Amino acid sequence: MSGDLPAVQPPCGVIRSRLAAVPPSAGAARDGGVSHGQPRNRMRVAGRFSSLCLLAFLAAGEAAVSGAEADTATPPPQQNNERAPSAAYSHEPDCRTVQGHAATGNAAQEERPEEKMREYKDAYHAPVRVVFRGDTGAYLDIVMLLAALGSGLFLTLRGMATRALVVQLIACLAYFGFVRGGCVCPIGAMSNALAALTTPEVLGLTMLVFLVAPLAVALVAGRVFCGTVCPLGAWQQLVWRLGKPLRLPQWAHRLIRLCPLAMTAAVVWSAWKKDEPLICRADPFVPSFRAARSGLQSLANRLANRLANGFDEPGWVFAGDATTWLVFGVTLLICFFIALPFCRFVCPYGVLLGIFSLVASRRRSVDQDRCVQCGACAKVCPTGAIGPDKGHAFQVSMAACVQCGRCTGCCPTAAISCPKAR
Amino acid sequence: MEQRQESASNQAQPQGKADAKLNRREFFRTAGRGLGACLLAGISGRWLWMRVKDDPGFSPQTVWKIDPGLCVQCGQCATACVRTPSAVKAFNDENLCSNCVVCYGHIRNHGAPSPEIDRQPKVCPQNAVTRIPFAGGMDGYYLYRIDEEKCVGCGLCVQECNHRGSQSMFLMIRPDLCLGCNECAIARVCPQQAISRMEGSQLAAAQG
Repeated sequence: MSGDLPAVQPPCGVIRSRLAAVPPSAGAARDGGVSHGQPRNRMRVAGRFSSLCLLAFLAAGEAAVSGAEADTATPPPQQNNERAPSAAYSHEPDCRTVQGHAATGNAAQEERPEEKMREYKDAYHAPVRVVFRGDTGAYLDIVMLLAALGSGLFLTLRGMATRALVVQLIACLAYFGFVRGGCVCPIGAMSNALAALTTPEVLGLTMLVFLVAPLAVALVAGRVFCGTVCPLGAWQQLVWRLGKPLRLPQWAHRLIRLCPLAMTAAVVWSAWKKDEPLICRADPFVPSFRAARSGLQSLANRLANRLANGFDEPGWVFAGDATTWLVFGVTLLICFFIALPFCRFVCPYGVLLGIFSLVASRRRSVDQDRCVQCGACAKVCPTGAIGPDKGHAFQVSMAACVQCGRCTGCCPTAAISCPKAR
Repeated sequence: MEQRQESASNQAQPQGKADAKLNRREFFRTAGRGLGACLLAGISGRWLWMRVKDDPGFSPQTVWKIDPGLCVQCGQCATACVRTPSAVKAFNDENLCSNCVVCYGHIRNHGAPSPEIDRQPKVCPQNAVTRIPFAGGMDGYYLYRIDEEKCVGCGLCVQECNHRGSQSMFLMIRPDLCLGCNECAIARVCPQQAISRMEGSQLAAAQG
């Protein structure tokens, strides 16, 4: 699937004419579509290795979840209320209850023979439930996030091969989006963190890690989370890589960057004044995540029930209504023509990551001695993060760059480094 | 350390204004990085300290719950949930149930004779409430069980039971069905604000 995607953007004619001035070593690196100074094969092997590691993690995670299935044959969790309904699922406490009634009640004590009880016990099967998100699931989420961030950081720092990146994106979309169901994402965790200032119990450990870990990585190498881990970003990037994005002028990109600032203000206000995560309502991709998670859960329940009790759970579970699905479809369509619309028009967490990325220690930068100012990087950049400054020297804005690595891959003179320490 | 080395090299080979500017920029970046790291460490540290101090057995996640004392069974739970059918289900607490012959949460025609009751029109539109004769006799105990596959969480049986009966039925967000949306769609429309977040550890404690 990923093989269909072009590894590098073919340089335009202007660039070709200038290539004569380029040293041959740079030309060799250009063919690889990877950063200069790195042998092509080693990069590929490294990329493959890291994506394999990620896939192995994913498989291990799913195995752990399905392993938990067997354990959840015991009664699933109950709700906390003062009535303490101990007998909602399993028949064992149920029978105890009935025996209790028999002991205290004075009517028809002898009319309840033991075989009746046994019959009733045999007739009732406690349904098997697969709980996707117990405490184990929450810790698994944290481990997966750290693994994905580590893998993304590795890919970014080493100058990612497109194929490895696409594998990483698909894996992250599959786990953080479809298996995990999208919630809580770091974008929503922003609101929770703000709301937690007044009511601390709304911020769980998972939310805290999902909020803090991407920011910590941003201090190292910029918005690695946006480009390699975020499931919303993954949807957009995958469609963008297949799509035909329109080229916007630089001033339009600059104007667009103001939109999420307004959104950030709105989200902060909403969390502060009304205790509501506003951004969760603006998330266009969430119906796909919820539907996938419901479907997987339903499937798991069916399998578990069939194995344990010999019957299926009837019905299929859906999530989301027509409006949300319509919004999802339209957003994907927009992604086809405008690169990363949600990230650039809406995402308040991107603003936060951008602020942290401004001071990142490892920065993507243009080597001014090598740059021939062909502008190929500015054409492929999805966020307009790269462009000529006042002195006509090309610069990368770390605040806007989502570390997709396309500029590094397309530069005919290999002048754009992957993030490196100064 | 890095900063000092750079400034030392600058002193050794003064390059003029451009380098001084670069140096200043590097200084601000380092300072900003330190500030950001302190901020993140501060947030995490404060959160952890608070949790460890308040309750040692904390859970990494939060879950949604319905407060049965506030719930008025308005029926929004059945429709507002992002899942279809809803993650909210009705339950009958066997500890509180009076095991009546005629159950208010089961049928509407309360004068019906006992053998006819299963053929009466039901309160539940999904016909999820079932009456199980336990003792076998005419005036014995009856168990009322709510079929969770059929239940959509409309709360009609709960309403009847709470207004006239022994108040043993209640609505509950099933933690295994709940998708754990960051903003619960039902909580948004709940007229009583009966749905709130709580820590997963409280849930575990409540289960015993």
